[in-house]
Amino acid sequence: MKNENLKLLDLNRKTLISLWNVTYSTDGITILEDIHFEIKEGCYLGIIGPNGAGKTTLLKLILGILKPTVGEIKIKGLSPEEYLKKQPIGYLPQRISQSLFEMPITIEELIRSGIFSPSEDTVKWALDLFNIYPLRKKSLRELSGGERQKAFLARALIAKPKILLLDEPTTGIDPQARDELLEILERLNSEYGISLLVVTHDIATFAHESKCILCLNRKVVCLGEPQRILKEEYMKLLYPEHNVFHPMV
Amino acid sequence: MMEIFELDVIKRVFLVVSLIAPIAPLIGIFLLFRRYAFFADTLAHVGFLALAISVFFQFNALWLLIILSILVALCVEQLRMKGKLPAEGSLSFFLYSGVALSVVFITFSGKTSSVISILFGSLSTVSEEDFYLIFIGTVFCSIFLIRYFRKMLNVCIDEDIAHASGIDVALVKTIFAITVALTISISIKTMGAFLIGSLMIIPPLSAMQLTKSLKGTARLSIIYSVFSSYCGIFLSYYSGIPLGASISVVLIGIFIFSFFLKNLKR
Repeated sequence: MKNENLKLLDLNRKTLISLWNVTYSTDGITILEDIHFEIKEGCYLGIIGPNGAGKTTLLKLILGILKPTVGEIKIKGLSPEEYLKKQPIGYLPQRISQSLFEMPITIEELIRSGIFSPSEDTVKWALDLFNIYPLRKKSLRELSGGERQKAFLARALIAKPKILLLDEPTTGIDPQARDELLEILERLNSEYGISLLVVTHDIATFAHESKCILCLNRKVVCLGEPQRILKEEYMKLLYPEHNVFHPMV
Repeated sequence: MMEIFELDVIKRVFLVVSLIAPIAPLIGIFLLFRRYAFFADTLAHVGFLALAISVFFQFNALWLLIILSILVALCVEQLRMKGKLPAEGSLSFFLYSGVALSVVFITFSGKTSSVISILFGSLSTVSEEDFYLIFIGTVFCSIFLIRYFRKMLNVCIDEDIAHASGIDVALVKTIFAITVALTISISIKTMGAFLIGSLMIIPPLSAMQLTKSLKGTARLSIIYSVFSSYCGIFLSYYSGIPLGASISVVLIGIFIFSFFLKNLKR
């Protein structure tokens, strides 16, 4: 990829996240190599790639949970650690420990845990955003997969983050719950201006939803608007052994 | 019947359980959330070692117990965080080391009769000096619970989510490990090394049978813990059963009651 392709969204917007030649290795294995791109404020980025491509690792590097072996990551000009001291980042991991769902904790308690002493209005706002206000007194163990996803997203949003990182948010939920979730994500991006970075295998769906697509396979394979990126030539580079090209996109 | 309240030693035990009974189950809730109840057992067995050393060298051991428990707690947490040893492996190592070395010290001290009170608690082992240390320990644990409850809950929910919320996960885990060690240290003389875990784990486990919320579980487990501790003192005084065992017997009854009540409700 040429460097001019690596700056996402319109040039008038400020840079939100920048990765400069980031490489991450562990136990002698290189998970990500020479990752270099910038994301502008207000982006809706879908991150796709085969299993083991380093998608989750990329999110953890941006969050500062993992440290790059080489290179530098900046969020609004700050290191992830410095940024997190000033402002939280909403994060929905790929998997929540199943043991949590055996514990006695209601949706409302989960959401309240996201911020110190939230007001009733703030809690209601987060619950209403995901249409889960009537479920607020229910325990997590009583909820479906889709309802749990909404509860965790509401918890992530109660602190009003500017960035939301989602790792496979539509996995394990039915099509109706998926559509509801996508609609909410679209609203968060367009109405509230929250920048979204979504790791997904659901290429066809996110090709319609996201404004940009990052194809990752240990390196940045391609990056840009969905119409330009989701073409057979790029998909063959990303998934050489499978025909994942979707005629819809 | 009421002569029990005329004895200074019993009054002191009432005061001590009034301090530790509300704290222990709250710490236990976090241990259950983290699937880390075994951590309490390991530290309790390290406590057994500290008390065995005190029997051998004939000195009051509460401060040694506190120091040793905190050191082991930090060591286990560091090994777990850095992935040097599997979590269960490091816990098992310290647990068995604690028991084995305790037996060595007790055997060479020639005071094997003291083992029962160390393992299962006693009405009479808490000295006035212990009481002050227990009071200070309770204050520290209370401060942790007030100051770090939300942060610790976030760490229990998911460490990565907690990190993204701007929480210093390593710091919270370290302070929690110290608090668990301290809670066990201040409770061990009344509950005994083998049974202190029961006061931390059984009340929240019983409360979870009947409540869906964290707040409800916390409230009910404190009620269960305080009730069983007071009942246990009476049971121990009038039956001669060691205090820790008496309290645990009441707790077992409460758990069975809660478990069946939950199933009756369904």
